Amino acid sequence: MLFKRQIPVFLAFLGGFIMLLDYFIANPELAKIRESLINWARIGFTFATFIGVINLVFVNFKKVARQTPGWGFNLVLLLFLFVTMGFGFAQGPYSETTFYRWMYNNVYSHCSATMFGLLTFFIASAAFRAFRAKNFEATLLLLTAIVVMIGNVPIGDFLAQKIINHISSVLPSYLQDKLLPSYLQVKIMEIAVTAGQRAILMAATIGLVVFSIKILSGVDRSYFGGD
Amino acid sequence: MLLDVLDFSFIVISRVSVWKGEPGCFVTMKIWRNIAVVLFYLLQFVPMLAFAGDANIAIQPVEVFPHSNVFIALVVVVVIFFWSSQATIKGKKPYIRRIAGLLAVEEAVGRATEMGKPVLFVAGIEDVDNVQTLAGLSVLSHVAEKCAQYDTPLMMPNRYGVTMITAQEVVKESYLRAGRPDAFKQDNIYFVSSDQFALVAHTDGLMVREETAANFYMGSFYAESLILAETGNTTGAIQIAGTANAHQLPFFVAACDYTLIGEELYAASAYLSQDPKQLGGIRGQDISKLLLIASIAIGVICVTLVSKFPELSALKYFTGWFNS
Repeated sequence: MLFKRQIPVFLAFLGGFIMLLDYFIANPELAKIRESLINWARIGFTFATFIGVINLVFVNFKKVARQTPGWGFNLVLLLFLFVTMGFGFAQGPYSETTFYRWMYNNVYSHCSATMFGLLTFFIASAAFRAFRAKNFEATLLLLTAIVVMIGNVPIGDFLAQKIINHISSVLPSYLQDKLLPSYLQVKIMEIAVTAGQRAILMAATIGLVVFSIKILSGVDRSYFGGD
Repeated sequence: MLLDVLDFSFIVISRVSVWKGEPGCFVTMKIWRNIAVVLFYLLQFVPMLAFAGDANIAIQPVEVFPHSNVFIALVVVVVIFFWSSQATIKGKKPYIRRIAGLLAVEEAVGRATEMGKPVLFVAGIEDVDNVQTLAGLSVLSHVAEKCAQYDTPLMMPNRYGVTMITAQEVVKESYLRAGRPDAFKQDNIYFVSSDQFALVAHTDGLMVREETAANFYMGSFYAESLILAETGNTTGAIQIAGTANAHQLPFFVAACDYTLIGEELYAASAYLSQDPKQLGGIRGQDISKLLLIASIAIGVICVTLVSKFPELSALKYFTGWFNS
């Protein structure tokens, strides 16, 4: 129990305490200790990545061996893993003319960009579901979203200017620029959205500090399976 | 200097043990006396540590002890946290408002059990050095215990090896606590890739192939949040998300059934465990927030007064204290 409970809690406290001390005190000795701890952590994380790759190989190999449904995908993964690793170790990652680099530039980058591009369609479908005028708050959200979206494209100001020109006789001159969607969206983002985000951020920061205190003092041990 | 540090450590430990060893001490003045003593020594020794080895302290005292305002604020939060925790242990539990996302955890796992489908848990895309990942792993322990009780498979793809190893231990302990160590499958908590979108692609494929009935997204997320949440939505899974990244909250709110916003993620562990010490910590957190609101209000008033009445420049010392 000592190694599973007390020692991890003590190590967490010690590491966190040293980091805190270094933040508040500009002492070169403390900075050296902090750098050492960070280097040890980096080395630990690197070994953990190695363990992760071994886990990946074993988990997928088992599925291929047992021919579980979809084992073809696992086989493709293993194949690409070993080919990439092989060429990476043989040719190194830095040269631009190697096959490893070609795979990175022409296969991996495009796959990554494709996944990121899916966001376009998902934003559209999420907006279609979220922007519905079913109550007052939802209607306000819808109208605000329309103003912000239109304010971000040139046609928004173009159309708004035409309407403003039609009603300029009844509109005070100082208000004419302030009704443009581009101006409104800047004000919405700068004032309303920033205020809301800061409120969430401040509350989350205090929550983070208290959670960190719980971790450092050993009050909350659930993050490593403790009671 | 080393002797000073040891002396200080002995004083802190002896005071803390006196504090913890006296039952009902919070209703007397002893706990406050002890906290005052600890703070007194802290304020004495920390600058001494800062100045140790520095002959030019008269020239650069500010630089050797930076962030003093943050330090004082941190001490205040720590004191409030421990006071509140002790008060809760001795007194009655504080009222914590209903957090729908956390109450729905059991419902979500139950739904997955009824449908005979697995539960998916994603603890964010950051490593364990991110506090949100730790908060997510705390929630994982409760979700895993429920899955063990209901005999529902739990699947957890990971981006980092350390997170994977930690999650395996957390889930194993949870299954042990639930009395089902035999049901624990280590292969269900696995490493995928260190790349953000590779993890997302795999997780999306997992959701579609395995038809997970309950998806939990607890931790730090970035651009992949909407991809995960929308894919889960299309498969008809019940989704509970929690993150402190404010820029991803709108996506989770739009696509998930329940969302834990910011501090609710950090409070989740205390809420689910109902541990009095941790619940007291939540109350301490709220008291700290009230103090922060009050200082912001005072700061706004001071800045407004100074801008209108320049002769009140002394008020600038209060607002300047908040500059790091």
